[in-house]
Amino acid sequence: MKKSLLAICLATVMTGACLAGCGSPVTTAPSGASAEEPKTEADKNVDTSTAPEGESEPAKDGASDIKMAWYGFSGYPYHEEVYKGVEAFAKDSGIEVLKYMGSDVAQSAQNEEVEALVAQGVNALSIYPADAAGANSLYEEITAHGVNVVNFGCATNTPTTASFTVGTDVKQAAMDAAEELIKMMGEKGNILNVLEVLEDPNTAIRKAGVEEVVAKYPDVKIVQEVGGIKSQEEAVQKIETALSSNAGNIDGIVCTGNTASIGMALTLPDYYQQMGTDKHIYCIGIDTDETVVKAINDGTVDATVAQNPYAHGYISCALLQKLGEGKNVSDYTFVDTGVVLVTKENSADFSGDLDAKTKEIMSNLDSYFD
Amino acid sequence: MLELKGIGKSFPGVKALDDITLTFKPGEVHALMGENGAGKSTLMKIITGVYKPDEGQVYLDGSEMHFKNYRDAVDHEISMVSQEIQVISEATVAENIVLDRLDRFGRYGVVNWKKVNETAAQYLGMVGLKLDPTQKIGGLTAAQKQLIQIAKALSCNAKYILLDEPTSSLTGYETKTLLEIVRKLKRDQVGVIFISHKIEEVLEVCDKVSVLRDGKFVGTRDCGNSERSDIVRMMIGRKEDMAHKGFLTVGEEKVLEAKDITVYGQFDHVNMDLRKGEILGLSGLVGSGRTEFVRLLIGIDKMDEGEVYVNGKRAQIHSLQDALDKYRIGYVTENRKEEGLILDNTVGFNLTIGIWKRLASKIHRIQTKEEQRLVGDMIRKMEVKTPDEKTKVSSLSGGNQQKISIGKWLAAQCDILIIDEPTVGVDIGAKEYIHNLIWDLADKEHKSIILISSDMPELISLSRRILVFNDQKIVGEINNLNERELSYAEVSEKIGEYLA
Amino acid sequence: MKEKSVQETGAKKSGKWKAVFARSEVTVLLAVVVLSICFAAMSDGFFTAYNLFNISRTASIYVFIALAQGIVCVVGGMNVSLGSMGGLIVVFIGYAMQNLGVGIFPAILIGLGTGVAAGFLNGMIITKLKLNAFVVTLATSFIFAGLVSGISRGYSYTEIADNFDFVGRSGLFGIPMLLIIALITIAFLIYMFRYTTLGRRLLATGGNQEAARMSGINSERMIVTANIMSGLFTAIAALLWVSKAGSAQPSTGSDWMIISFAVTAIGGTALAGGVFNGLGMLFAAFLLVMVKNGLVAINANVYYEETYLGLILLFAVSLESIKAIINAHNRKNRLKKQQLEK
Repeated sequence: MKKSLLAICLATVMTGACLAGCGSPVTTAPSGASAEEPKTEADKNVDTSTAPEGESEPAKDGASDIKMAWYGFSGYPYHEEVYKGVEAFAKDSGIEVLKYMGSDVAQSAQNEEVEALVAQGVNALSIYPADAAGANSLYEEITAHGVNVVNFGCATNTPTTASFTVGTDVKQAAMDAAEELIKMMGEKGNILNVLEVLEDPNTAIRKAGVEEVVAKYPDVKIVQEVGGIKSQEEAVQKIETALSSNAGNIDGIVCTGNTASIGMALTLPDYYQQMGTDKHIYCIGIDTDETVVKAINDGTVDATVAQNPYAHGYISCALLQKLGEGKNVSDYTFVDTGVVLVTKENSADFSGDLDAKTKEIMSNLDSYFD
Repeated sequence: MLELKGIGKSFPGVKALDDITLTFKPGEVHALMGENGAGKSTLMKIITGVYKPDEGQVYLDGSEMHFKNYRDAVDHEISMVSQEIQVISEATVAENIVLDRLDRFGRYGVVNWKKVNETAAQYLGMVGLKLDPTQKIGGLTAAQKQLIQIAKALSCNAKYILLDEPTSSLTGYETKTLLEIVRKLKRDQVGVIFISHKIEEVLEVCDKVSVLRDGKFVGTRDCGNSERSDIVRMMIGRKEDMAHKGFLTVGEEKVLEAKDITVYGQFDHVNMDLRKGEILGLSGLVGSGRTEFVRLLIGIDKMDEGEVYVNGKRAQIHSLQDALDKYRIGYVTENRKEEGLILDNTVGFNLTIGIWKRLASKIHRIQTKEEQRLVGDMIRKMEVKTPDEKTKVSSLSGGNQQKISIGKWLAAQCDILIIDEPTVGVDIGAKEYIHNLIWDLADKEHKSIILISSDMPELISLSRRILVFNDQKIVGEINNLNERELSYAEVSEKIGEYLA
Repeated sequence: MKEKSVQETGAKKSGKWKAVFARSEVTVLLAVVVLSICFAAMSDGFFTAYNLFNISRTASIYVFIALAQGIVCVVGGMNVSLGSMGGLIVVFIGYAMQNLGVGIFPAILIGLGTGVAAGFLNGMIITKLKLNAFVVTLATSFIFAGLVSGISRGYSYTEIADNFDFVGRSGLFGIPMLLIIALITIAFLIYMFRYTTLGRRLLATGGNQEAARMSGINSERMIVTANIMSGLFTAIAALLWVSKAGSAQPSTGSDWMIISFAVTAIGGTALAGGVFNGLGMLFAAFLLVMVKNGLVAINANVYYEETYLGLILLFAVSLESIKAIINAHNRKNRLKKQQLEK
């Protein structure tokens, strides 16, 4: 009897712990008035006083009809960074933004959850589409109900009923990375191109971008391509193998996905430990995961291309606010938030460059509308 | 007529059947007997198309048959009811009866359940079962399940039904019902091929008996003018001995005593005691509580009230592990395949399962040399027919499996042994061996034994005292069989009275 | 008679070899050898010290992942939560080192403790509430996965103590420490299953839980024990991975479940229970890693890589059946000959 009691207690405790751990997926970004002022990095970066003055005034009118929601995915640092932008927007504008984080990147789950949000009265949605093609049918349905949709991070296939996508130009980022790597390599040598999930259409775009740049340089060659990487374990395993099977023949590595970049940052210190540091392999990754930044500071990875997730959050909400206030946009528009190259020199303060870009876009926000 | 002509079948290294010629007629109950391994099962499988004969032919009403598989045989109105009860517990009675032909009850994949249930009810009637066709099969008794299997065979319009040891898991009363059904089938002009180890019931119900020995045909006799001993002689070539086994010296001390055992809704203050060196028989129908009662004593199931004393001291038995480790009580289960043995493991593994701890050295290493010696001794002592101790138990015959099931408790040196249905599905040679073994354990080694059995001759000739269970109560006690004041017939008469 | 006995001893000798070849792990080993020869012939980089070092390190981690699955398979259960359990352990280790600033040994203890506790939880729910292992571990896998993303928010922990990579990155006489640890563990487990009461009782429980109970074995306790060991092996795999990677990634473990079942099954440990094949698991881990490695080494088309992986694995596992078919064929021929001679 004691044992079974114990078991039940355990089960209860676990359930409790689980609930506490996950929390309710829907929370509200503190709006300006009631914010408890969590002084995060991001908050410091955007000077509240520079937030467009003209807009906070009419916002007071619009705020009553706009019910804004933000949909991201839990467990990804990128989405956490984007949300910091959303929080800052809520604080600056005084508009409450409902936060929802999906746990499973699947269009079916997203459909159900978004429909529930719309049923609660949400009429402005900043969202990361789970599937670039599949999300469109969801959008068609909810825009017909008068909901304004802005993608962040990932564009949906056109034609789409989303008004904007605020994100990074995937191909440009890949090309920037390749260009930078080749410059570091002295415009000659052999490259290992690491691709991520091959089912993702973005992977093909990145691949094309890298290949386009490499084609410009006659002395640079892609000696090997590895791909089909879904986890960091796989990334490490494949990069390791590619390095050893091309023993000493690889001069540079370009990773155009976050998981692959982490894999690269994990592999290289080990590689140098086993093989010695006589020959340096030039490496460039994407995104600013702690692991990658640490590797840059340690000198094992040379650079990474930083996206601007803060802007993805801030600007997508700002656009929704404008739409809610009655501004019109005739065509679907892609808002490129730009990238910044992070090296050892600027690894601590690269966010300043990103913020400058954010401000630049914010000051021209009206130009995106008719 | 179903005729077999010169059937032969070989397996690697064994000639399983050799030149078997037999004829089965409709409206005739034809028994097929022989010890385990005599070739009965192989012959059955050839008749039902599971195996193809290497030599010889099967004729049905004069035309030669080449059954492709069991389904093909069923389509030619030959059905088989196997020894292991094969029903789907979660399905209803009706579903079990027509399961493989559900598609014929209804159109466009929609089953007409009314028709299914009506059909099932009709065949249930034929085997004398008054059951609701929509009832789940799970809760039924072994006998009812067996009869449902026969109903299933009948529902295929079978002209020939092969019954493989249909009574092996049934109690005496249930057996009677089954035999009555067999007679009815005969009247309905069905040809019944009846495989059984029980000579009495064969003589009672069958018209003819054919005996196989080592894959060869020994002979066919009319049951009307055959004696039990004739058939036994045909089967084993030696005389059966089920006579008085002598006298047991039963001690005075009570080695096991159960007081006021109560399970709410089932047992109400039941008492029992067992003396040193005694063989105590527990009789009763399946479900009467005899097995359930002993399971309570040794901690397999939990009692609500009551006390157990071992050697006069209050015993705390919460699991079989306690019973074995603390009080050296062993339990040979009635379902050796489900509960008794780990079939996919070796003979040695199964024999020493209860004593690994005792075989372990100080650093917890099992002394394999000692283990092998013990296993070797046990195999020799129990006359287990196995190539070596590394053979998987599943490849042994029923009798040898049962020897291992008992042997593991002997290896564990149990003082009190509870043996449940020791000779179900066991051939005559092994059966006799097991009877002698049980006797010697009590007589020579002064072990105290509780014997649960549905086999009357077995129970009466071995037990010195019999408790009769009925409806979760002990309804009678037959004492002092040691001096044999009562004859076999008188004892069985008395048991019958208590059960009625 | 004399002739016969001579023949028999001859048969015994060849029978010994046949018995060796009949063992399922030998087939896997054979596949490993054949494939490594193929890959070595097709790529210069395959048979290098660095590559072999890497293969054996990854295989060693696979061994622990597979053991975590194998040990519960032995008792007839399964653990589909081991991937997220691994992630949780990694996060706890990372959190402890980075946010709480604990040293190497306390962090190891925290990792092992988390694994044991998670395994214990699985085991207790399965036995006490009498639920199916699949359902329970599926549910707990969500619990663990939620805790992983809740605690880490997906951020990696990079402040791992400097010496923590000692085990993951160094070797003894050119043999990776990871492999040595895996070999010792497998040797210990083989010993345990052959010679100890615990090992035998685990096997008996998996072979037939009811029969084990009826033979005086506390089969529930065995199931809990197996689940605890499963958690322990998951924790070891997680620790080794952190040690090799040099940082703690919350996404660790996402592909562990599939790997664990693949290695366990290829290695000849029956998923139905009652059997343990340690050497088989070791060779199967090498097989899986080697095929993946070899495909990169020979620069196979990345888009079709998984197809090749599937085909090679299918071939490797069907060797066993091919062997059986050939044996059956030979036996038939032999019997036919014997009959003709008669």
